[in-house]
Parts: sequence; structure tokens; C-alpha cells
Amino acid sequence: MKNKIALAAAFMAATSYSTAEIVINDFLSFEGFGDMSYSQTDTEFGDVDESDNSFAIDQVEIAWLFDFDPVTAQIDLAYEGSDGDQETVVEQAFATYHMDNGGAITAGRYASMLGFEAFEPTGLYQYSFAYDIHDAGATGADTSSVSILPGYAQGVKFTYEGDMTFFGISLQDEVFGYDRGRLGGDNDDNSSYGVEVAGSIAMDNGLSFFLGGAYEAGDGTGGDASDTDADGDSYVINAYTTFETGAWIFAAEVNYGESETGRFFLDSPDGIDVNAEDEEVLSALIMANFAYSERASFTGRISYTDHETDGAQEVDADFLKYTIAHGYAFSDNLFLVTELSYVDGEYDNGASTDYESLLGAVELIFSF
Amino acid sequence: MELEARLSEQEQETKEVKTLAASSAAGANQSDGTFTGNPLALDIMANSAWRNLRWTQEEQWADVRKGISEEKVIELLGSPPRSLDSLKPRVDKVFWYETSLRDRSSVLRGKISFKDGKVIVVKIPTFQAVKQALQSR
Repeated sequence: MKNKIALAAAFMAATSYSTAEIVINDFLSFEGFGDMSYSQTDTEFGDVDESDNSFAIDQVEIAWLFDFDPVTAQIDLAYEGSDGDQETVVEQAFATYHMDNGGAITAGRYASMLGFEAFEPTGLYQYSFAYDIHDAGATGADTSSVSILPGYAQGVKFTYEGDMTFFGISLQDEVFGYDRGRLGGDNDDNSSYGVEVAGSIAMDNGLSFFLGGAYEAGDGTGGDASDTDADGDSYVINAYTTFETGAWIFAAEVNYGESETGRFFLDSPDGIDVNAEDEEVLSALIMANFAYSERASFTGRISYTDHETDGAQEVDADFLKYTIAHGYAFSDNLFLVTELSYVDGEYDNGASTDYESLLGAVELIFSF
Repeated sequence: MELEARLSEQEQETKEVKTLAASSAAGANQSDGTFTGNPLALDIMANSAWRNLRWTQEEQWADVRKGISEEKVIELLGSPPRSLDSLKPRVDKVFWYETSLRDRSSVLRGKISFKDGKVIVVKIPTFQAVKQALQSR
């Protein structure tokens, strides 16, 4: 699983250029994957116990890759979702002009450059993401992700990729998801924009370092922090390092962010939505992966996230997650992941409430 | 220099397209006309075939060995018809050089695995079996 390696993932995001593909002709090729899983989740939040189990196709993705050297383009069509909320989306759609000096200019909709963990299951060492607390419905939130890292956005970016270095800067419509899906707007308080900057360096000894950040100016009327009313600034700083030696891969990541606009978990409409004014988040992970054979590997991960809000409601929530996972490759393109995760947390809004969640999952990934 | 090289390459491609187009047009107007009658078209087709199918030549595999780079493999064998970011833990990428996915009888099937941009495993197509099959015809 090459693209799970942090720097490679950054380069992939930077160049927006894939080399793994089924070639149709000189100009067009395809790649993609299908991902299905069975999971069992038990969550306890104070006196509320919830349990959930699921077998579902989690995601199917097909990427159309166009190559009109020096211009390449990519369109990713993805089917994703669960619980009757499935949809087919254009996950990415962008065109890139590649310069001779390693630089590239990309325009369209593309993935964030930030974050150690890959966006797709083919790039992960485990079934779950580090900053997902597996809420089976106990908290009442619509999402169980407490991540503050950006996802996909629309805009223009410049990237430079050297043999061992990478740099990228992006001007985009959003970072944390307040905007209406475009960069720009009218004079009616909906001209949010975001900026993302990232850089990394890889050493000959297997070490790599990544540092990046994203800022978004939410331009709304204030209101209830819904998608179009968010007004205020938010930012996140993301840093991680990886070290690969022999069959071992180690990684450590730390994120820090602040939001005035209610888009982080506690103050978000999709999260608990405590109607605060500001939210401050610190999250981190450490991970080790050991490939004990040509086909199989073990992974251990500890992740932590702490959210605090100020203003109308002062809330403090922290979660510590322990994950062990095993991966087995039947072939180069068929991979079985099993995972056991335990989340221990606390939610304090004046009165302290304990949170616990246990997840067991089996996931099968087919890629092409 | 790089711009000049790119310009030259573009001109060459344009020439190739024009030649093929002219050949097709000529073919349509001639009773025995096929564009293979045009030596330039033949040359273009040969170059194209060489670019895409040089992996079918046994001697091209002679220098493909453990430790060489991905770029060197492409230089020797051409771009692979199929490649994949491998899901195996100790393999980054795989190139398949094969004539047909569904043709199980085809023995002309090569595979190269990479880790950190270097070749770690080479499976050379069984050219000997192909030669024997041709001789037996």
C-alpha cells in the first residue's frame, strides 16, 4: 500500500497525477477500487447505550485519467454512503498543467494536501480513521468524526515537486465546508474563501517531515453557523513525520486549530452543536506498522483529540482512541483488513459524562 | 532547450497525424489503396509499435533486473498496459506487461514489482514457449 506513506501521499496530492492505471489508449486510462465492510459498534455515553452493526458497500470509485502532455486531467466518480443515504458524487475533477521544472498548476476540485492519513481506504493501514470516535448514535450527533482536517475543495493551486521535496499553495472556495461550492460570491455575505499551504521534505534515511496549514475566512451573516451563515475565521495547522526502516513504518502527527464559525465537532451543526462562539482543538496520533510477511502486516495506533469551546456554552470534550489492525493481501489488488478499536472519552459541559465506544470491523478492498 | 525539444516533438506528432490522414484519404481514392502502401505510414506504425510493444522483444528484458529504477524499466520496455499501486505491504507498485488479460493460454505475460521506486521482483515472459509455439505451426 504505497500511497499510505505520508510523503508519497503528499506528492500524489501535489502532482494530481496517477501512474497506476489500466491504459485504454495514449490519452485515457482508468483506475479505482471497491470497498465493503462488516462492522459492529457499541457506544456508551452517560446512561445511553447504543449498538449498531452493518454490512455494506462503503465506497466504489472510478477515476478517469486523461493525459494530453503537458496537461493531465482527472475525474473521480465515487459511490459512497450508508443507511439509505448513498449517493454518487464527483469527488475530484481537475486539470493540471505540468511545467518542466517540477511545478504544476491545478484547477478544479481536489483533495486537501494536509493530513497523514490517506483519504481513500486503499491508502490506509486500518479500517477506521484516527479521529473517528465511532458513535453508534449515543451522542445524538450526525457524524462521529471529530477530525478538523480539511477534505475536498474547489480552487486553484500551485505545487512544486522535487526529488525529495514538495511545496504547494492553494486558493480555494472553502476549507472546513461553509461555502456554497464555489470560489467567490456576491455582496450578500457569501464570499468565503480559503488558503492552504503545505511543504514536505524526505531524507535518504527514511525520515520525512510535513508541515502545512489552512485558513478560511467565513463570510456569512453570523446566525446559527449553518452552511451559508458562518461568519468568522478558522484555521488548522498540521504537522507529521514518518520513518520507514525495513519492514517497519512509524508515524506521528499533531494538529491544532481554532474556529469562530462553528464548524468543528462540538459547535458544528453536524456535530453536537452546543452553540458556542469559539472552538479550539488539539489532536494527535502515533502509529506503527510492521509487515511481518510479503502479504501481511500489523498496525497499532493511538490517537487523541481535545475540543474546547468558549462563549455561550463552555464545553470540554476529549477522546483517546486505541486501534489495532491486521492487513492481509490475497494479491496485489485484493486486501482484507480487520480492526479492533476502543475509544475512551469525556464530555464536560459543567457536568461530566463518560464516553466509551468499541468497534470491530472486517473490510475487503479490491483495487484496479 | 526543453521547449525546443517539446516543439520538435509536437511537430513530429503533427507530421505523423497528417501523414496518416493523407494516407487514409489516398486509400479511399485508390482501388488497391491501403495506407500501408505509404512508406511514411509504415514507418510511423513501426515506431508506434516499437514504443508500445518493445516489451515483446526478449532482448529488451535483458537489462531489467532488481535495483533499477521505474524510469529505466519504462525506457527499456515501454509504458505498461496495466499498473497498480499494490496492496501488498512490501510492494509499492506493480507493472504488468501482457497481451491479454482474458487469454489464459497466452504465455507472454511479464510482471515487475517496485518498492521505493526500484525493481524488487521481475517475472519475465516465457519467450521460449512462444518460440516453440511458433515453430510448431
